[in-house]
Amino acid sequence: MPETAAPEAVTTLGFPRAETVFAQQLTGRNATPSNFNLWAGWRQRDRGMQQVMHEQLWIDDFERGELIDALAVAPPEYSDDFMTMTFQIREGVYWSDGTELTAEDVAFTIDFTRLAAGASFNASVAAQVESVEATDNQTVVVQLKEPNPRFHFENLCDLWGSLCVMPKHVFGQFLVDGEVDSEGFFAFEYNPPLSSGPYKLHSFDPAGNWTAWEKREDWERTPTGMLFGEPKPKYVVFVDYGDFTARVIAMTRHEVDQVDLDLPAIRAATRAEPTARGYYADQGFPWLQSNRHPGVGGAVFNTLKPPFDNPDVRWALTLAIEPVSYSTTAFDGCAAMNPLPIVVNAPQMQEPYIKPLMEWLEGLTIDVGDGEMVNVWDPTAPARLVEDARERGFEFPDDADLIRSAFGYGSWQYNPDAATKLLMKAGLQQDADGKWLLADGTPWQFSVYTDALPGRWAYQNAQAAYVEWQRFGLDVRFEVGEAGQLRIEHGNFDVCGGQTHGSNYLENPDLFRTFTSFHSSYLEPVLGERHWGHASRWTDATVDALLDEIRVTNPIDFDTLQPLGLDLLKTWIMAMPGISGTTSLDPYAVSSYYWTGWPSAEDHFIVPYHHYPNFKYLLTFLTPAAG
Amino acid sequence: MRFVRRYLIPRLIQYVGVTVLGITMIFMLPRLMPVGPVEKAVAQVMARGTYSDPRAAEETVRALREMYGLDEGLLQQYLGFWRRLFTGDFGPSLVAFPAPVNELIAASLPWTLGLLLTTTVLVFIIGNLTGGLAGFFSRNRPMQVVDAMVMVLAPMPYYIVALMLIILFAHILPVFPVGGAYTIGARIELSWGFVTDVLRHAFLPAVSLVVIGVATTHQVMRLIVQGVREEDYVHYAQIAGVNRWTIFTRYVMRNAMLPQITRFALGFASLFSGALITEIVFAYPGVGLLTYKAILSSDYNVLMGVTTLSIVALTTSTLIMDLLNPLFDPRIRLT
Repeated sequence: MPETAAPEAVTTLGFPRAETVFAQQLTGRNATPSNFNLWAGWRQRDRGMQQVMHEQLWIDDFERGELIDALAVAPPEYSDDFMTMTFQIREGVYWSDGTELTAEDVAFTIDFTRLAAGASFNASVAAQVESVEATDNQTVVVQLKEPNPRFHFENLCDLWGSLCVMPKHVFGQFLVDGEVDSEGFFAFEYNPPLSSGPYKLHSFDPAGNWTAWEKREDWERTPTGMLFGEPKPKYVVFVDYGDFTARVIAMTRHEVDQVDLDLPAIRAATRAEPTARGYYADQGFPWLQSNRHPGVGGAVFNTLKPPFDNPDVRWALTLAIEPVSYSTTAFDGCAAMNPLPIVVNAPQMQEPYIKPLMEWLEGLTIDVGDGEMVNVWDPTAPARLVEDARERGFEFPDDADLIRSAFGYGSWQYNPDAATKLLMKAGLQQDADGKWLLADGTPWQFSVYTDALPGRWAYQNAQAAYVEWQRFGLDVRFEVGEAGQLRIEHGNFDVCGGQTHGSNYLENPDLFRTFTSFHSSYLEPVLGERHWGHASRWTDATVDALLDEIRVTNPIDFDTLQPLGLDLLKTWIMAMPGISGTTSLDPYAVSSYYWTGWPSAEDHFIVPYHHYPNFKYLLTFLTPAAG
Repeated sequence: MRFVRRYLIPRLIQYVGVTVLGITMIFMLPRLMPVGPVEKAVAQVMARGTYSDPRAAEETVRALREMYGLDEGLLQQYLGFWRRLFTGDFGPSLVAFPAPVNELIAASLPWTLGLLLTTTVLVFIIGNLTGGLAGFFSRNRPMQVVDAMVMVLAPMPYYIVALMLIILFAHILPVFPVGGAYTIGARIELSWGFVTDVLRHAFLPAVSLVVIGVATTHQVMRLIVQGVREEDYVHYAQIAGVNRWTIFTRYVMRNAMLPQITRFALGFASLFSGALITEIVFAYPGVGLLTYKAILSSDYNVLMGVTTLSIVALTTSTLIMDLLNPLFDPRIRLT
């Protein structure tokens, strides 16, 4: 990466450029610029509130593969019956107005949230918390209504949004004698807000295009300062730069340091600006993005809709996909193949799941009809993707570990013959022209739907599946809708692009969150009615039983969890309610013109995204380019 | 009195009827959609990876519907809306609850009005002038050059023109900002420095709108003028030896302007709905983006606020034009 000394005080922007980090606001222009009361509703927390203003209790860092104890000093302790959760917070943490942040603030936050109907996290906290108290300045004790060893994961541990601590001396006015002043609370803009994090509000655009934060003089009295030291930029500004073209141009003008882009835009930025780069140092194919995001996207079957209710059909469609071609269509080959309902490159998943699964997959066969068994696992797919890249003129080292970390461990076999047999086994037939007919003789037509934008993982996976199935000879259409239509949640689709299961926790092998939405207790069996579980509406008695057992197992009890998790994975794979494709790619580029030290594939010390809560930590690792 | 009875009163009744009908339709349409703002808001939060127990998400929706008053009957909501409207209150935004819709519109409208008012007036003056000249003096060399330029520009998609301007004047020759309404961090104040900063930021968006607007208006006006030029009274004036410039200004342009004035008036109504693509490409903080986001999130109240303004602006512009036309065109008075 070129090291370019930043010119002094040269900027068209309103902040001293060499002391400021500018980043894209992921969710765009702010709808409520003057409102920082994120407990009262959606306030676009990625405008800096979750990144630099708030200190969360725990933060999930999927690049480090650990749960960072942020405001809390350690993970919580649960009583043996999982009815009581106790945790300590750090000493010496202060709000930006000089008031000490104590366990009283934390207990107040949980209690207030429990009582304030309609507040963020109210439903979850009210349903689970019996009472909460601060037993001393640092200790919080939460009494639960039912056993739950994951209460903190569900509400207080931040991946991208958790219940943040509110200052009792500010919000206490809305809780009098156990009664919440709802009208006052929801109307309260909390402007200017107090920070528990290392930056305080500097200014914002009343029209919502940017929000600026200034480093606190007492940054060392924040968990970020205590854990990672001083954040280097004096100012951090989150800006909506406009569309991808405008963002790339802003990067070439050195007006932005980190920005969300799609893959073509990253290439354009890195070609036009030598100080720009993505996650990998080499900006050519295929080194573009992190493969460790906890979400996995692919094609999701509507398993309540025939013929997708038949696992043979789902497996047929899986084996009709050529994985190299799929990967090339989806992400120009730039993403790891992630065909399993788990992030294959996550360090914490290797021993408990990936290794045993690889052995199991090598011998996995399925019955394609008349007792004929075929192998379905193809460990050579990543190497073939590399070959394909080389044929396109790209260089790639012949290093098996590197191939695995970049492209994954394998994929499902491309076996059109087996796919055909499976469809026949499911009762489908082909007419004289080779067109597929349903069991009743009517033509089989279906669509692959996405409500995501081009470039986003859901869209790219849906499109790739559509291309593969069309080539296989199916009468399939590609449909694009708006996210706001909620067609997927209402079951109004055949196959859709989306997350094939819940996100993993990447700091431990607990798969509860990954599979809980498949539990039959959440199932809405009527298509057209809003469904709150997984989009596929797939359920399974074995999965229910496993989840019920995991639910009452401590998430750090790996010995108990591992075999249960492995069974969950195998059950899911055999049923194939969705075809996992790739981990969620959130492509971005950074500029080293003013700041160096960004996390990268070569040195992935922290979650690299500017819209995650971990950004406050990232800022401590930056170095001014001039320095 | 005959004018009032036969012309004014019917138009006033039509004005009130169309306004009420338009607003009622805008009230009903989003509510007929299968999903509402609450479901979309919850989906938005969950889509980013925030874990939510499925039952907790369902309970959140129930609580928020109650809080927003969406659990009330349609008639109650409708009557409540009109009650609020007569006090100039569009209620709270449902997505940015409880921020008043009035405040959200007030934050965006000045930027839209500033940009679109200027460009609409410029487009009207320049487009009609060049179109009129090109139509009347069609054999004039410079006018033929202008015509040729317009033929290239008019069919170009707006997005491409906007993008070209950004690439040319913000990237290759970086003399203008890439986007935004004013310098990040600048204090909003009535000072020369801030005003020039705002003008600098508005320049490229304005040019993009003017270029396409002028090209379209030019072509329309040119065609109208070419038609008027062939009217008998124009030939008669030529035969009578009336000065050519007088024919152009008093015989041709005056008549050709009538439909253009109506177009101009209707154009004012669009000021309140914003210029969505301009706002996206130039990250310009106007009403268009506010409306677009409200549509996506089913924010009924914001949608009602913006569209009510647009409907009232449109029907009022039409009414005013209906009332003013007899003054411009004696033929309407006589009939």
